[in-house]
Amino acid sequence: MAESRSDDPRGSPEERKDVRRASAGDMEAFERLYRTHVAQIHGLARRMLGEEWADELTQDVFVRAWSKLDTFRGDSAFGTWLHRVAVNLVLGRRKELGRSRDRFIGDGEAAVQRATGTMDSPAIRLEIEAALTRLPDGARQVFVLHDVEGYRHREIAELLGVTTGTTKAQLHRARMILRQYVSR
Amino acid sequence: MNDDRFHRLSEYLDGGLSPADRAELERDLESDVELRTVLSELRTVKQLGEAVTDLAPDTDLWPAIAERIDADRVVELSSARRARRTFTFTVPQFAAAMIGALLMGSGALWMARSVAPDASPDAIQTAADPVAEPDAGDVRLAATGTVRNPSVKSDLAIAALEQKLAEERSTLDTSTVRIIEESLAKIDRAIESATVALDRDPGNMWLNRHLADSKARKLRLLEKAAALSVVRT
Repeated sequence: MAESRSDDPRGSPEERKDVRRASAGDMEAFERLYRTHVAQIHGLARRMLGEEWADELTQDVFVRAWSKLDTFRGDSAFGTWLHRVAVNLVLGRRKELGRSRDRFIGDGEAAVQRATGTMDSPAIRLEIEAALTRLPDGARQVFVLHDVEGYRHREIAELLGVTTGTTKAQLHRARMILRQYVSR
Repeated sequence: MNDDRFHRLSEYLDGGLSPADRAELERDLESDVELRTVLSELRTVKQLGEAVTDLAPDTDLWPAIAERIDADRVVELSSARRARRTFTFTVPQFAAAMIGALLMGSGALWMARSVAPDASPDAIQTAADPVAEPDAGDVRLAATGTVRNPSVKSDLAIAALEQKLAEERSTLDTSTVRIIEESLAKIDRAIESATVALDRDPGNMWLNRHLADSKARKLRLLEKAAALSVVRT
């Protein structure tokens, strides 16, 4: 999560200045904010929804952020706020897509195959990314939010409207499936 | 693997076990090779998740985002103007606005007829514009039965609205004009690029569609701008 990646919980002075300018209608300032955060938002969208939805959702996130900038109070870093906007949009989109998503095979375990790269090769990271998209829905969203984005179980449970017991079980399930990648 | 100890491994990794449970699991880990192996693999998975790198998208999404934001800004300005003017509109002002709108429509019609005075309904459907889609311009001008080529109709409607906007530019405030002009410049660049590319590859379906979409966007933007100027008249 963005909070854990920044030294100052409110973000850098330059970024705070850009947020103020963007709030006043400065598109160039908002473009700088976009350039700073697009990779993180796109990564989240890609991992949670898949490559085919990532571009569209990333656009939606920044358009929504622009329209809601006046609600950003600056108590946290802009990146943290933006990330929360993105997570809410992602989860909403996942609900909309619902059962139309048919690319998950069984409970997901059959879809995950042994990694072809060794642990010290960069390829395995790419393979893990690919494997993420094939995890069962619930396990994937908890794994991405917890292990990749750094949310806590309590926060994830709140976002998803489930108990922490459920999120812990889903995380364990995801890790157990993904461990096939690293088992010797 | 259904052993409860395995289910506790993730919580152990995340530091979520109570001291008593942790101590118990650590005792088991000392004596159980399989448990230790699974723990090691889960730790690696967790580390890989934490080390995932964020990469920017392959295509630059900013132009599309900026365009959507621009469109929203014009709509917001338009709505705000309308809301502010609701209670200050007098009957003469309203009549003037209606006459202005009527003249604008007549101007577009006149221009359409002057460009293609003898054209039959289908005569101007050329191969150069095979996939141009119906747009707002079509709806407005289709009733005349004079011009059926969507691209020509869009161009005529755009020209009429541009003229109208130029005439009433002074009635709009500076920031509104700036936003409109910035948005128009972006759309014009898209139209120009598509036109240049189509000169080289006239049969390219995607380029034709892109050009038609860009013109439709320009028309919508000009219509919103014209609505703003009418309200302020």
